[in-house]
Amino acid sequence: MSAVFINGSLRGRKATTTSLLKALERELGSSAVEAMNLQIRARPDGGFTMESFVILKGAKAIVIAFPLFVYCLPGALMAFMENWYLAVSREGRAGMKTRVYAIVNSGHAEPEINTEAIRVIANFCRRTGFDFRFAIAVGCGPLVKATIDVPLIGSKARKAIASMASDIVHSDDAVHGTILVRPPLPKRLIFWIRDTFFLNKAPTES
Amino acid sequence: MNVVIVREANSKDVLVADLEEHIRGLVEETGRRIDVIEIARGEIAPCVGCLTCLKTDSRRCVANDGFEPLRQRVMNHDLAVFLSPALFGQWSSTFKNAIDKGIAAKPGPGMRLPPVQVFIGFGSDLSEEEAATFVDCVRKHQGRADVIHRELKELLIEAYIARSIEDCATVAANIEALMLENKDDEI
Repeated sequence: MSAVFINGSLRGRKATTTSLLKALERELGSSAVEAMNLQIRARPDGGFTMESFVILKGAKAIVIAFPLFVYCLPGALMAFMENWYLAVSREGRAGMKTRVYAIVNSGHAEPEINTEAIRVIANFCRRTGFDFRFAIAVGCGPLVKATIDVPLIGSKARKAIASMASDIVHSDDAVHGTILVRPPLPKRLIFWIRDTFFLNKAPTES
Repeated sequence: MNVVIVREANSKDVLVADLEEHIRGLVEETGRRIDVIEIARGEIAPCVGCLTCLKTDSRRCVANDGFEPLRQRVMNHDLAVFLSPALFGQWSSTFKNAIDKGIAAKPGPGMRLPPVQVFIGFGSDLSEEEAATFVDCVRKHQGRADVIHRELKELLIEAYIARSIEDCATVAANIEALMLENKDDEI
């Protein structure tokens, strides 16, 4: 059984999205699920190729992970989704019902701000006939990334990732709502940490 | 009001043609200028999220693509109308690349405020949920954008949906009302 992780961040290995996907891969580590990564590219087609379509067609689970850009999917990921949708419309999808998950992270303090982006993924699944399972909405993304392995502070993020991994492995049918994740810290402290450590030191890797 | 319509290049959708005709009629009635800007696929590179535009006073994208010329042209108008397919409930990637780079954001200190902005999501087969998602993407978080667009609540941004020719007439009526409300803010 294979799961495909679509990494919608163009920031490469330093991205919060990449860290969250790595955490999910670690969580799936001892299971029979083989994880594959598809990286979005800064190209007009978002890096979508027929090869990636074949990989996606054979996947039992697909995790679409990305940073929130203006309350929605980043342009490069959107280009990928447009091409994917065209390919599914033209070629059809595999007979099995592929399960789709989303992980959306944002620098905003409130994880609820990711809601519309998750709705876009759900709309995409409705059109393509994929089974949209649920999403993890992350607020204070860089802080969650920095604290995911810290006892107590990172527990919410770790539990959310574990829930997603369990759902992928066991193909549960239980209904899940969106899992909201933010560090259990006062908003004022979160803003101070953001301004001091993250906003002025954003990585420029592409 | 001087109005600019921004749409995808080579759009053959009948809704785009109808919306453009309605808006052109409205503007020409008042004797003001209307421009049309077409964005070609690939003309604006995707935002990579480097945040250089936020960390420098210029508030400009470092990528040497079609974004800055587009922004400068849009800024010379009082009202900007963006016509985008509402794919799965959000802008197409062609538009999203421009929006990600801050076309809707307030520029740096001392720079002019952007024009009133209207985003029209179109598509004859849009579901109710897709239409609602598009409107929420544009409208819902204004004023809550505490990281990227700190002053967004000062701007006037509206969203409408066009799924049929009848919708185009309704959208045009809304734009006419918006033009009347904001006629004192003309350049």
